[in-house]
Amino acid sequence: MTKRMTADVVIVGASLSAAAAAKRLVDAGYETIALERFGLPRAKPCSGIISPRGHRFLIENFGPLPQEVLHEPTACRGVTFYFPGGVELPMQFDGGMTPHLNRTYSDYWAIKRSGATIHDNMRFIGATDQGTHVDITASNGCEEAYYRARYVIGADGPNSKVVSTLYPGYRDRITWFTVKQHLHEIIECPLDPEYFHYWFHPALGYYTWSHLRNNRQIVGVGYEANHDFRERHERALRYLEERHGVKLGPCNARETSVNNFGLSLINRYVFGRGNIIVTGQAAGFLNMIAEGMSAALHSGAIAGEAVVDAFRLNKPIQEIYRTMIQSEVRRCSDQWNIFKILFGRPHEADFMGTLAKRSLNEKLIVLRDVAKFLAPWGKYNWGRQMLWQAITRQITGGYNPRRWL
Amino acid sequence: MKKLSRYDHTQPGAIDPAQCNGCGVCMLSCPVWHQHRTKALTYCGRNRAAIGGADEDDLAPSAAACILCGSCEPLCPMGIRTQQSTLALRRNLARRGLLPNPRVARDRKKPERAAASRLIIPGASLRDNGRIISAVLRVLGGEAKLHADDGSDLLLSLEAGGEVSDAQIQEYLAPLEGVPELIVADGLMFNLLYSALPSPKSMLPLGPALLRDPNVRAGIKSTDFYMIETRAYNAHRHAFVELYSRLRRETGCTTNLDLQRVATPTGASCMQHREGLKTIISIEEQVKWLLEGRRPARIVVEHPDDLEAFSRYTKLPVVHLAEVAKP
Amino acid sequence: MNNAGKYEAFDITPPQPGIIPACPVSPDALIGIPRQQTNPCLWDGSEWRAFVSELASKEIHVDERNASRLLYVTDAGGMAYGRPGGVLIARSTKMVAEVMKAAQKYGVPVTVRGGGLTTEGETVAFGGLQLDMRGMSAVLEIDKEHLTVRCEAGIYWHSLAEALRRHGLDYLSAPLNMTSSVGGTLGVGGIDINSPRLGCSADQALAIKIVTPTGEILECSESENAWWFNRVLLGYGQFGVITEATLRIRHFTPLTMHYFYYGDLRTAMEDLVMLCDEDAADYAGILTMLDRAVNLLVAFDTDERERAFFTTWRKRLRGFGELGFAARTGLYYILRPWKYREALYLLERKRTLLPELRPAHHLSQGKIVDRTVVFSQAVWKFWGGRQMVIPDLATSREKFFEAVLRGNEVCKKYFPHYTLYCVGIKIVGPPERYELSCIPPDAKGIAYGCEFEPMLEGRTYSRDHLQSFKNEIYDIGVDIGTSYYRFGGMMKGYIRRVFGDTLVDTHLAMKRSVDPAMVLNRDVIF
Repeated sequence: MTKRMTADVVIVGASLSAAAAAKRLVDAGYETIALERFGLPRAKPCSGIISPRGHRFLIENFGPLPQEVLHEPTACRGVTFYFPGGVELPMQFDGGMTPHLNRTYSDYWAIKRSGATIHDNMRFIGATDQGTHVDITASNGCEEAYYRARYVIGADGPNSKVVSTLYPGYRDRITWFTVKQHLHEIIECPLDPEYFHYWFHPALGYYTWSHLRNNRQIVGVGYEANHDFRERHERALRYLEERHGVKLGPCNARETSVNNFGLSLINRYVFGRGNIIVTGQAAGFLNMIAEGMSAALHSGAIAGEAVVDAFRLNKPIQEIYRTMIQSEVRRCSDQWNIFKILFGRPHEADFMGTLAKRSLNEKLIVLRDVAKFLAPWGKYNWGRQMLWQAITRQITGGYNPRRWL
Repeated sequence: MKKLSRYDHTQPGAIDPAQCNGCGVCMLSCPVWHQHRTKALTYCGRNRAAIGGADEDDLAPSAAACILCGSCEPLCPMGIRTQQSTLALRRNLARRGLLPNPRVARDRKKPERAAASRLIIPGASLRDNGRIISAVLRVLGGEAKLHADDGSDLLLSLEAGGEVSDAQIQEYLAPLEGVPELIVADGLMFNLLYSALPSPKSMLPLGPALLRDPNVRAGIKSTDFYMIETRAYNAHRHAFVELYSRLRRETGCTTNLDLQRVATPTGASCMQHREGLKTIISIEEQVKWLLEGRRPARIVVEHPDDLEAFSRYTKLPVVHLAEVAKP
Repeated sequence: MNNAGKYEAFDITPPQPGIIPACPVSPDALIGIPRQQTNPCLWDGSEWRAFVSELASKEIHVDERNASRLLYVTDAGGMAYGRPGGVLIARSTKMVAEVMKAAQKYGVPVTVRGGGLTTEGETVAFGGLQLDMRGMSAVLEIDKEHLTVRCEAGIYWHSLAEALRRHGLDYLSAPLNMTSSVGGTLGVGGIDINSPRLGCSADQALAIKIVTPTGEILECSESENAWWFNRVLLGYGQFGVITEATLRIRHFTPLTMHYFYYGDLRTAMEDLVMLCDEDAADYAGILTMLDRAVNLLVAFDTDERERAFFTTWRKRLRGFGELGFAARTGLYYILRPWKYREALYLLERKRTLLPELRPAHHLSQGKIVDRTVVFSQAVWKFWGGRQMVIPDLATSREKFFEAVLRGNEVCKKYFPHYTLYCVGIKIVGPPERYELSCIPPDAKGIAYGCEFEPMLEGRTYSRDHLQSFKNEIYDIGVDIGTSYYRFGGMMKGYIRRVFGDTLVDTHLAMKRSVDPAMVLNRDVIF
């Protein structure tokens, strides 16, 4: 007989969404174990700029942020959008300055403060849903460990092992993007150090950004997986130097992550099945400008709440979770919803308001550049789906849950 | 794994106790709450603990404390059948030996066909009280007959959480089907028959049946304290509340209905008391509370158990409803 | 991992209660929102065992069984969850005093609970001891001559009414919810629909016995320990545990109730304000169904008052009776068939809710007997649920209209159906009693309150959705300067935004001086 550790809930992952879920569960008195494949605290590739809504969630649930969880500069004032036609649109965040998190420590701090039992260096291998409970297999690299829990929450990020266990073959069906950021010594950088800079430039790539961290400048590029990063990165560096006078020294640190970008755009979330639910970026939550942290926190909390209610109401977890998560789906997918962008305020910075203050000429340039920027995305066939989802949202008030996995 | 104990809430009309809001309104009329102010011992407490994930074992003292008076039942805004739910919990606990002395219905004689147009099912305490039985028969008229098999062994077993097989229940019910009019003296038996018989043509608890007689109503005075049998009334408050409101208006008597129009029990009918088991409900205290601030000249009861309780703890005259009828 | 060194120095312990540390992010991050953990973490329990043993040595046995602790995981709000380390049912003032002494000595948080009808987790214990006051529910003395009652403070208002009625008496003012306790209500205020005449329920208290956070037993009234009296009343449980109270009472009378219907919220509010100003009714309040269906409710204790109302004030009211309103509304919807859903909703309300508000067995000659029972049962049936979401705003007369009309718009954004419940609250006590309370500082003579009550109708919402709704209502209060009936728990972040640091810090200093270890009802507002 293998010995199984039992708990009410096992959370796979120990980052922000896991911490938020754990907080809800531990508060309500449920034994919760978080499995983390790396040793904690662990390094985590991320820009670290969390939205004000996420900041507020952190404070309200885990307390004031300690100095250790922040990078330098500790805060970011807003985002600047650059368009190849020469327009620059700096926008402040609605809620004021927002933290520049050092994910290594912020995530560790949050999961510790949640009160969950943490099993780090423990890689999730697989789970079998037995109907009344779930059996989980994990490994610390040397030997396997076995867990048994009433529910499992998959909060293990974009490249989720829980998702690929539940849905074999799913990984091959969606488009993957690689996001790499290099940290460079600064020789000269006229970009505003308080802002996160983002380029709507089709020639640079899908996702090109830069900001200051710990006296180094990050230059990051996102592109479809398997493309040549070096060439794109050099192109971005050249562009920054020519266009903005940014002179950077050699790169002395690099971070890479793989992203399941696109799911929240077209309302194709993955929420699990049976007694296993999926949350955070594993479920597909990603805000605009690829900010996943605040959505991870809120969706994680909802996953935790749903489990609490499933225990207490003795109802199927999927039914409860999929009902509750609608509020976060609406909030997240609204960010990509053309009607909401035009007529609402789905973001935590006022893009339309900032644009409205510009001259007609500049507005036209922005429109043209956005259209050019979007053109290469056409091949994913998201446009029609996004439009259809936006229309559905207008009519029914929500996004169709039948599109979720 | 945590287990929730529950009764069969898939039955029509039953609601899953997990739908409980936790409002606690059900505690307000609970005699256990009134005497102990300990939430854990009330239906609300049992249910909240179970919903929170408590093991059934932890609920045993609370399940044993309940006197099944049904005070909580009409108050639940969600419509949870609290009496049934507590019986189901007792059954689960008794199966595992966690409740003291669960009765098991013994081998029963095959009941005879009941041949009467108006059949009275007396229950244990009425059956043994010749004086009241003759008064009851006097009021209810010549066609009324006592049913020989009052099923009190089955009932005691159910109340204690003992095993009663479906076959036993069916066998007991069979002769009662098709009887034009049933009058049931024991409240819990009334509730059982009311939900179990396919289509009861006419079925009344003893009190409302007697109150149909104008002579009985005329016998109740404004100085009377009228003690409604709680178990049937509380489980079917909507059906009887008007009857007693009218009685109160017409006669000026006081009743054991509280501000929520729930009937407060003496606790004398509960299985624990009848079987001499340890109980945390003091009947004396209940009687004291029922009469606090009230100055009746006489007490009129519907159930013989209450007659005994009031006789023991007050010096006031106590009579059964059947005995007040003006000749 | 080369991070280990940094981790060793990394302090993850939460800050001391009441302290809001400087924010390392930026001075202008989350503008105006204090950096406070409002959804508290479990207390670490380092001195718990010593605390429990010390109490045990005094024959006070803390119940640490899981099944008992599980009864207290959340409050009526159903948004905050937490579990106490142990539970104690209070049985005497002396017992409470021993508990507070030991709690102070070992720094164990004590969370006091009566009916647990808070909505922001104020009565939820996040570790530490949960003190259930309902064990003290005795009615001690009824004085029919001076019309007062002395009772233990854990008693439900309903149980008090039950005892008083045996003597033909009734309490004066209590929340329309039968499971609120006397002590809890005195600690926060308590609003009834007779509050425009009588003030809060707390104002009906003539004397209270309290246990201070350090375990001293004090008898308090306006003439004895007046400082404590006015700090503990409406003090959110910060300055002491109320164990007994002497309350003013009255002779019981059934009441007559009348409803007037309005097609417009503002008009109804204006009429409510007029009625309150001129003391035209014994009870007055507004309940809305839709923007187009607003109900102004008035009620009277005596026939004389009712007659006076109909001769003097009825003609000045712009509301309609039921028939007149039905005719007008019917016409409105016949002309606007596309609004059929609204019409159906109104019909459904009329069919289900109205009979519940006048059940035959609570009527006597057309008058309502036991109004609290009737209302409370309706409240739980129609607005109740696992989560009671009732954010509110309490305003001066001048800000009443803006607050309610803005709040009404917020409700529409979040829920298909909701009810607003507006009522006046007369200010009858000394000003210091209301400092940092639900009565806004700028209200003179009378304050107005509005509860925003979504009908959850059995739907499942995420707590985030409900909390966002509440925050949006509360933000109106910050914006225009109001107060709230409810303060605490997850709302504690609002207290500084509303009252400013100076006032809050004054109270924090008072709190520290009487509760050095900050153990009594921690996390509620500080």
